[in-house]
Amino acid sequence: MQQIKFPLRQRQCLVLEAHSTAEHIDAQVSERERLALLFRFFHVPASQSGTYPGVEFLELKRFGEVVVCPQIQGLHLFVQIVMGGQHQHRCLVTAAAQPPADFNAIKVRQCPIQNEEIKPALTQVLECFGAVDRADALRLFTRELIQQKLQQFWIVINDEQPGAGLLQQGAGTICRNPTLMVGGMFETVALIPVVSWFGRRPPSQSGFVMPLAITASAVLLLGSASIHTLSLQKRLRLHASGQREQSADQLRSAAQAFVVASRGPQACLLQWPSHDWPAAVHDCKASDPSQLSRGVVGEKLWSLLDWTPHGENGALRLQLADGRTGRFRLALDPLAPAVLGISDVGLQARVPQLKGE
Amino acid sequence: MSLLEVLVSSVVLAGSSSAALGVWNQAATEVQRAMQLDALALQLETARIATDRWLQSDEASSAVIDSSSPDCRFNPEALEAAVAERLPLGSDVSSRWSVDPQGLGHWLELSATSQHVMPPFKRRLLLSPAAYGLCKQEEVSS
Repeated sequence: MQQIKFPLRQRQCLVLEAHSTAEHIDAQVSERERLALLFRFFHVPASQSGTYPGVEFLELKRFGEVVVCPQIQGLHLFVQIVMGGQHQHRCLVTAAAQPPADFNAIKVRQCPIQNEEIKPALTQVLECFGAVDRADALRLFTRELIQQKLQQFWIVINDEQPGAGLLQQGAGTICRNPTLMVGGMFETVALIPVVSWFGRRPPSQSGFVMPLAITASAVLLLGSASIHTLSLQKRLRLHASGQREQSADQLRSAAQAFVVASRGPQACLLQWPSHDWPAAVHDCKASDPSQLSRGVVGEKLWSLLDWTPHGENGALRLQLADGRTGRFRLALDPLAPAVLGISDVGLQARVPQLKGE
Repeated sequence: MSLLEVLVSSVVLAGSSSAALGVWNQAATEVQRAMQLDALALQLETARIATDRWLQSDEASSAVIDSSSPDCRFNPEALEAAVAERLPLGSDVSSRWSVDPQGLGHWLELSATSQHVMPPFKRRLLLSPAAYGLCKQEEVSS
């Protein structure tokens, strides 16, 4: 913040301020380029239609959106209309506001404002702060703005009714902000503060109890959900293990049934592999290979997949109706075709089969 | 920090804590039950393996074979007495022998009951003397 006095020629002070902020203006070129192009397109109209900008401001004030009674807009295109001391559309010449010679140095990106263009221009304002009608009210208003450390203002001046005397009252306050530039005659001034994004809201005064409670609740619920998942997994594993033992028992029972069926006339077939049984029937009188091929044990259907004798041992593969397959190793009597013992079952992958047989 | 915020926070915290406690309690019960089922399953498997090994051993003589039957089959009373004498089962495990209706052998039904495990754990498998070479001994001896 810079303290400036206006001993005799306030105009000079304003120009100095304008020069010091020229770089700041250039930094904002990109933001306002679009608006400048829009205004440049309507540069010197012979006559305008629509609502005059001052009337638009008054309407905006009535809606409470903006602040109104505009005449100067600091760092904005509208300003320069007044800074030139001349209203280009209304051909009004202000008596008091004759700008210095070097004032044109900062008149880049300036163009007269067209009717019906105030509202589109004001839509770029992030937040409207308040309104002042008179210059003495402006002083209090500007002080309030400065106390809130707003980064940037826009000041729009209505040059419809130029008058002397009020300029000093308004400019003395506004000029404290280096981003502002005031010139010309104005009766009423509008201030539209543009609040920086980070400074828009005051720091939150809410407590920490609610976030803490929500975080603790989330931790508790997530932890309990994980433990519940673990217990469910344990139950599933137990169920799968029970199923596996049941199917192993059924396969063991089927192997016992196979051995029972292999007694008597079918014992002769144990010397041959199962795929040779149709041919071996001639050597084994009264034998029935179908009794060894399938059977029922405990209301469960089983079928022989493969039988391969190998000396005193034999490999037996059985399958249940639901596709579970098991492999056994049978101990054979070397003297006679008979089974002496059965090894434990070796479970194999389930093969979908036997349903259509 | 207002009174309303404190109230809402405490309600949220109390609700989630009670829900979490309930879930933890349920999970602990489930884990305890699973451990008991594991122990029972192990006892049943041990009993099955012991019976199987005993039948394979030389101790299982022809005494368990019903000599009055023309077919080679177990004498269920003698088998049950011999198994109960030689194979002490756990307190929770009980065994039962039943004749297969097709005459294939005898079904050994092992069941384990516990007060915490409501559906009793069961194993059921068919045993025949022919699978252990006992019938051949009988034929040879006769």
